[in-house]
Amino acid sequence: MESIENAQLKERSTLQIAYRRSIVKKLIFMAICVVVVIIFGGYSTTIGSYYISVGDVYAIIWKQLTGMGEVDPQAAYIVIQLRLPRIAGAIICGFGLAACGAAMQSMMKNPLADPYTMGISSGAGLGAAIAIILGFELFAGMGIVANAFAFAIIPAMVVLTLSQVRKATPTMMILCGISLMYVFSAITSLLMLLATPDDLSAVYTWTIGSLSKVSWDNLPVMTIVVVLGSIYLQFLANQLNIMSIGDDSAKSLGVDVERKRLICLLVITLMAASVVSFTGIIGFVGLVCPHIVRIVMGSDNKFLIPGSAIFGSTMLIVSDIVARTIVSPTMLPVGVITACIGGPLFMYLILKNRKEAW
Amino acid sequence: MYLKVENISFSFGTTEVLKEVTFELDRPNLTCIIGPNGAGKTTLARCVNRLLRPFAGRVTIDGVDINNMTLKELAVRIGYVPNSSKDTFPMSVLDTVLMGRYPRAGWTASTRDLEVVEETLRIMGLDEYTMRDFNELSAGQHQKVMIARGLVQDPELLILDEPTSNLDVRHQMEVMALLRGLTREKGISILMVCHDLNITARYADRVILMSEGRIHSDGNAVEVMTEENIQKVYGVRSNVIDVEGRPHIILLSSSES
Repeated sequence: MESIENAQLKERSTLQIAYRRSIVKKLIFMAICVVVVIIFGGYSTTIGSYYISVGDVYAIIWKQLTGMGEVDPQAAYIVIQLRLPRIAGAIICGFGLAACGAAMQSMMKNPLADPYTMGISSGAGLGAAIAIILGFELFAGMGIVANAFAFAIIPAMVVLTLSQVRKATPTMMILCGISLMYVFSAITSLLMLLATPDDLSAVYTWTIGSLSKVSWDNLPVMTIVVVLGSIYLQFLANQLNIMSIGDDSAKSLGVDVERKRLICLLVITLMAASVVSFTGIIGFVGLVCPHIVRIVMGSDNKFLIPGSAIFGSTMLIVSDIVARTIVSPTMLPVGVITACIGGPLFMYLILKNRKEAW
Repeated sequence: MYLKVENISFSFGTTEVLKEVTFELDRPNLTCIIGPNGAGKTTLARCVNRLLRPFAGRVTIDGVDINNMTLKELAVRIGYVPNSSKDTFPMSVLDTVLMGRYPRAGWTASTRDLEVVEETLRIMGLDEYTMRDFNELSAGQHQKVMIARGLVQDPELLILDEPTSNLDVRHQMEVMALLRGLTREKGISILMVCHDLNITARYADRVILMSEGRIHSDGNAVEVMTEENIQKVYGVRSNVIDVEGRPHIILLSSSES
C-alpha cells in the first residue's frame, strides 16, 4: 500500500517536472533570441560608411542613456540619430508582425492566416498609392502614413459591420479579407496606370517595405501601439488557445468566441497597420515566424506569442543586416530578404520536422 | 444540481428539429439520450448547453435561466465534450487537457491544476501519453483526451455527444463504467448522446428515447428499451432479452418481416 502511494507521489512529480521543464526549454529559446537581437543589433549599428566598433556603439548608447562620460559627437550622432532608429524599427516591426501572426493563426484556426491575409497590407498599399499618385490626403499634412493606416483598417471595419448581420466565423473573415485584398490591389494597379514614372517608383518601393523611413519621430507611435497590443494579446493567451480548438469547445469552456475574435481582429489590425504604415509591406514575418516557433516550442499561446514576437525581431534584424551588406553599398529592401531567407528556412524546417505539425 | 428543460423548440431554417421537449435532471445519474439519426439528440444536448438557443421554452439550473448566466458561470456548472475534435496546431495532451481548467484557473497553471489533470489522465489510462502531441493519437485516444478535458473542468453536469463512438468495445465499457462511477462518487450528473443500444442498456440509469424531435419515452432501460419502442422509433425488429437484470437487444434482419 505504502509503495503504491510512493509510486503515485513519484509519478505526480514526474508530470510536474516534465511540465516545468518544458517551460524552461521555451524560456531558454526566448532568451537565446533576445541575446541574438542584442548582439546583431549592436553589430548592425556598426555597418555603414563611417566605421564604429561594436564596443563603441554600446559605450555610446550607455553613456547617452546614463548621461555619464564623454562621447565623440559625430559618432554619437551617427549611432543615435541615423542608425539606431532603423535597428529599433526592425525590432518593433518584427515583434509586432510576428505577435499578430501568432494570435491570428490561433484565433482563425488557420495556419495560413497572418495580418496580411485580412487585406491589411493591400489596404495600406492602396492608401499609400492614393497619397503618392493622386496627392489626396485623408488627413491634411499627415501624408502617406495616415492614408495607409486608414485604408489598412478598412477590412476590419467591414468584418465588424458584417458581423452585425451574421456570425463572424473565421471563414467569413478570411474570405472577406481576401476579396477586399483583390479589390484594393485592382484599384492600386489602376492608379499606377495614371502615375508618372517617379510616383510609380515611389509606390513600388513602398509596397516592398523598407526600414529606412523609420526615425525617432515615428518610432514612439509604432512602439506604443505594438507594446500595448502585445500585452493585450498575451493577456488573452489562454483564450486564444481555447479558440484554436473549436468554437463549441471554446464556448462550453466559457469563452465568448465570436466577440473575442472581433476584439482580437481589431487589436491585430491596429498593431499591423501602425507598423505597415511606416515601413511599407514587409512580408513573411507574420506568417512564418509563428510556425517556426511552433516547431521549436509548441502551440501554447502563452509562450508562442512572446516567442514569435522575439523571433520576429531576430529575423528582421538579421534580414536587415543582409539587406544592407549583401550588395553593399546598395541597400536592398528588407522585405525581399525576409522572404528569401524565411521561405527556404521554413521549407527546410517542415521537411526536417518529422512530427506532423499541420 | 437541478436542471429543468421546459418546452424547448428549435429549428434549422424551416426544419423543426425539437418540438416542445421537456425533461428534468434532479439527481446525479447517467442519462443517455438515444434515438435514430435526425431525432434531435445532439440538438437537444447543445440547447441544454446554450451552444444553440431554442426559440421557444427555457432551460434552468436551480431555477436560474441559463440565458441569464455568463458563459464562464455556465462553464463552471456544465461541461461539454464534443463528438470529435479536429486537429489544429500541435499541442501536447497535457496542454490540451489543461485547457479544461480554464473556467476555474488563473492565467497560469497552478500545482492544483496540474494535480487534477494528472489524476484524470491516470483514471482515463492516458498517463503514458501526457507529453505526446494530441494530433498523433488515434481517434479513440482523442475521445479519451476530450473526455478528460471535460472532467478536469469539474462541472456539475457533463454533457457528452457520442463520447464512445470511436472506442473499441472494451474501452467503451471502461469509459461508460467510469462515467457511471463518477455520478456515484462525485455526484456529477451526466447527460450523453449515445448510439449503441446495448451499451446504453447496460450502463444507463435513465434512458431518454427521442423520435422526430420529441421525447418518445423516458425511464429506466427496462421501461424504455422494449421491442415495441424499438420497432416504432427505429423501424427495426428485435428481440429484447434480460441479461443480468438489464435489457439486451438482439436485432433481427428486416427481411424476415
